[in-house]
Amino acid sequence: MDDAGIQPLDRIYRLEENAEWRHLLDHLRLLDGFGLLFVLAPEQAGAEVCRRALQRHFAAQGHALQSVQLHLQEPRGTLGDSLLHAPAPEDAGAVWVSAPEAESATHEEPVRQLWREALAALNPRRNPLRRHLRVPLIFAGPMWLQEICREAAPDLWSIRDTIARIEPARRGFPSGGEMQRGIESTQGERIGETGDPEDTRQALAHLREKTVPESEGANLELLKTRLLHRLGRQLWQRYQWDEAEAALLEAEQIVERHHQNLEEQVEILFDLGRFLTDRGDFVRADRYLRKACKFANAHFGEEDPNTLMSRNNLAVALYDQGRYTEAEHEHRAVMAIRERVLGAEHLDTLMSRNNLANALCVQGKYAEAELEHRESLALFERVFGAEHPDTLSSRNNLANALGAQGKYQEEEKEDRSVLAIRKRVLGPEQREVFRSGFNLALNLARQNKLPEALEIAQQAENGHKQVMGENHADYKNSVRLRELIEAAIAKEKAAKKE
Amino acid sequence: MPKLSDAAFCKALYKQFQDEALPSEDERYEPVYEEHPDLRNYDHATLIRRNIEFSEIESLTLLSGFRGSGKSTELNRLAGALKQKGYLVLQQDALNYLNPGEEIDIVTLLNALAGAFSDALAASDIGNALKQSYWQRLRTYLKTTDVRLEEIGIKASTPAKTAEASLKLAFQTAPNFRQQLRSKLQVRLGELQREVNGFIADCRALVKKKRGTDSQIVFIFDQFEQIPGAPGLSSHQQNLIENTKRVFADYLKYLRFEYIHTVLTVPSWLKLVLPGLQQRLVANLPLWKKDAKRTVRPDSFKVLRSLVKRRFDQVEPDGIERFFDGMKPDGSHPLLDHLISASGGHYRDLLRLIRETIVRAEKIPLTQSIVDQATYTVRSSYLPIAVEDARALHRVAELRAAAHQTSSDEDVRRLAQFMNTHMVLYFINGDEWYDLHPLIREEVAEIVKRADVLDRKETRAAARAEVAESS
Repeated sequence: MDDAGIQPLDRIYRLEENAEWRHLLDHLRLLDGFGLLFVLAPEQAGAEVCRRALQRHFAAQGHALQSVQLHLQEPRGTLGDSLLHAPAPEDAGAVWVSAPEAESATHEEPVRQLWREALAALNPRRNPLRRHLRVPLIFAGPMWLQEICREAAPDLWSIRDTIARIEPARRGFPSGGEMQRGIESTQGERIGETGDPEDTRQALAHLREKTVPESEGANLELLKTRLLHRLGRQLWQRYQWDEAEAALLEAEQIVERHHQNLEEQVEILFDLGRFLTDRGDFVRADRYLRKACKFANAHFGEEDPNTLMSRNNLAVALYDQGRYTEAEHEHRAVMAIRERVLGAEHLDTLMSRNNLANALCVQGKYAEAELEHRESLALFERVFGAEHPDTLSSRNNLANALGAQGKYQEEEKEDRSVLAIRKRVLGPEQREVFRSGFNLALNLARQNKLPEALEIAQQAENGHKQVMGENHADYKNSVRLRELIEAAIAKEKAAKKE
Repeated sequence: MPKLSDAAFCKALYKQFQDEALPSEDERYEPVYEEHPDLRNYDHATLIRRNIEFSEIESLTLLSGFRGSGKSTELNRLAGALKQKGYLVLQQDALNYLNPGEEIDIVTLLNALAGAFSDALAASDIGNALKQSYWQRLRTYLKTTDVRLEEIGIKASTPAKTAEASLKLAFQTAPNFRQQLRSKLQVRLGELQREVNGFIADCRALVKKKRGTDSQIVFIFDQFEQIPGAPGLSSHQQNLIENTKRVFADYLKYLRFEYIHTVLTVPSWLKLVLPGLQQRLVANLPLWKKDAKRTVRPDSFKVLRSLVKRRFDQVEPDGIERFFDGMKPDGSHPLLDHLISASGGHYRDLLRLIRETIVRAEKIPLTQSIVDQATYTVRSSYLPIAVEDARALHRVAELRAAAHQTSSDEDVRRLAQFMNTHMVLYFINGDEWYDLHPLIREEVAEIVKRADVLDRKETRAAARAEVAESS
């Protein structure tokens, strides 16, 4: 891929913000001599972005990144010879081994087989490799490379130093899946605060100047709390971090002083937690989130819907912080209570199940995630019908889990189904329709069905621009996706000309 | 000594926790077996050494162990201890003589063993006195057979040294030549064995002459277990199982050399396909008991805490306190114990977990969140797990035994694969038992549970459909 094609990809992957990438660089920095590392990316383009970034990284240190490419046409045992019989790279910072990209999901098997045979042949040469190379060896490929290596080359696998899973920074369906964003309705609405913060500021200023009888003081404080809470959310949405934090903190202090509205207090505590998570201040975020749960538990009881919603929200925030194990644990606990108290078919229970499945999926527990999603989708369909928005979200999340496993055709089928129903039920000009379109376009692009992918991506981009505006992340993502597909098409054309 | 900066401290630590076989007498070596009463009887380095000392004349030991269980470290210990006692220890890497992934046969193995023995002796302090290498002797012998040395560029006029080098190189790198040797010499196996034994007897005489009549030779052929690769389902891999089995079932006596103590590492899966074969298995450290609750074993934790501390001590006195903060007098710390627990007692995973925490520790002391992230990262390398694999793993967890459903190749392959990837861990403490790696225990149970629910639903749906159709 040429530089022009890579630039938009750099923006999509944003490696400088990617923790996995940073950890990979740390391993490379700390490794003394040979090491075995894996870079796994959902698409070849991601691996290419990493390769170029590593090239730059090593060049800055006066080293080269030596590349070894596997070829479908070559005998499979030659990887070991390339690595062992070539002179040990004196100036290399690392050796990068990759394979060609599959033409599409249906043509993936030859590439899998290529990896399988190359790694199996290399497996028993682990110790000669260690002795000869003296620099880190990096295998770069799709997510399934992990399983292939584990099975075909257990000796190599056994000495792995680390595995970096490099995902795009923002995707149409973030690795958490759509359910995390919208299905918990009380949570979803809270983030999407509407209204002009200037109006709220003026109302607040008016309230602060107002003198009222002492008997009315408490009500005034309550109102002030609400306005501060609202202002905080409005500013948060506009990324005015400092002012938003000040407003939310003041709201929290007032509501704690007065204890007038317990539900509001829980909401403010929770919003503070999520805001601080968003801001990256995880230590303080955690404090507020746990306080919200503790408070709800103490005042409403363990099985109260408010408590359970708080715990669910804590789990979602833990998920957002990348603390997936804890998120999974919390979701499991909430789901167990909801199942017992509300029954397996209650909407809240189904939400928990979906969120749990998303937490499983992001940890790579795909089989379990897929099972959970299939079960909850079946329940959603039976209880709420195939066209219910939550059923569609559930189906979307199942598609996400399938895609994460590389089952792109099955993912495509689910994505098409969601898109068709949303178009029919909601009409073509809805945000959810554009999101579904975006997901389908991404799926098609991964399968190299580029013309159709481009058409759908353009529709999604136009729609997002019209509905959400040019500053919205969804619009920016669809622009990136369209650029990516165009670059891939241009590359294909250039290859044909050659 | 000035205190290291955090960054320099972490860098030095990372190096200490890199995964490598420890040389004998290395300060990082933790005397696991001495400290652990249950394992004292499984201190293979000591047991093999004693066996060699007691058997006096000759012995053959087959040693195996699952990846990362410390096999090579134990062999280095054995070599070090024997050298101290005056033995001539010849240690060679099988990978220098045999083509990995190629089927094993007795002709190739005998030649490889004799060639490796010869090269190791040549490199020893009495190497200069070796008049004829095995490769020279083999060339002379092959002239009496119909093996065509011209094919590898050796003619009658080729100088001896050149011919020796060419023969060795062809044996190490040319599959066609090895195939020729195999096919021509298989029917002359007795002859070949006499040649090999004759060569080794000459070497033995030389050693006696140079080092005294009581001098004994120990030959360690390491890494041989990697040669046949892992058993799989393809016909090639099934042949591999059969051929390896044949070598050890039918030709074991050919591997015993007169007046030599031979130690050969063999694939751990051999245990599954050849249950009667006597071999020593380096086991995992049992962090828990084989009871229903998997009761924690404090003695094993103590050993691993000490193992970790030794490596910290190499960087800085009390470095472990600096990294974890709040170490208790008994050497425990909740975060360290969490990492030990997650490792399942598997040394390589423990080192890997600690390396991951070092990489993630932007600030020290360590936090729970960093430990969780490291655990998650290592754990995810075991995933995903296919439903059918989960069911088989679940059976191991339930039975605590390496039971496989049938004796079919597929079941054996699956179990061997689990052991190769240490999803299944092997323990000996009085009893021989197996269990799942703790990092996948919950995942396996969940997959099986959910899959069963789905199965039941599908069965009910099928039954309903059948009823509907018949009515």
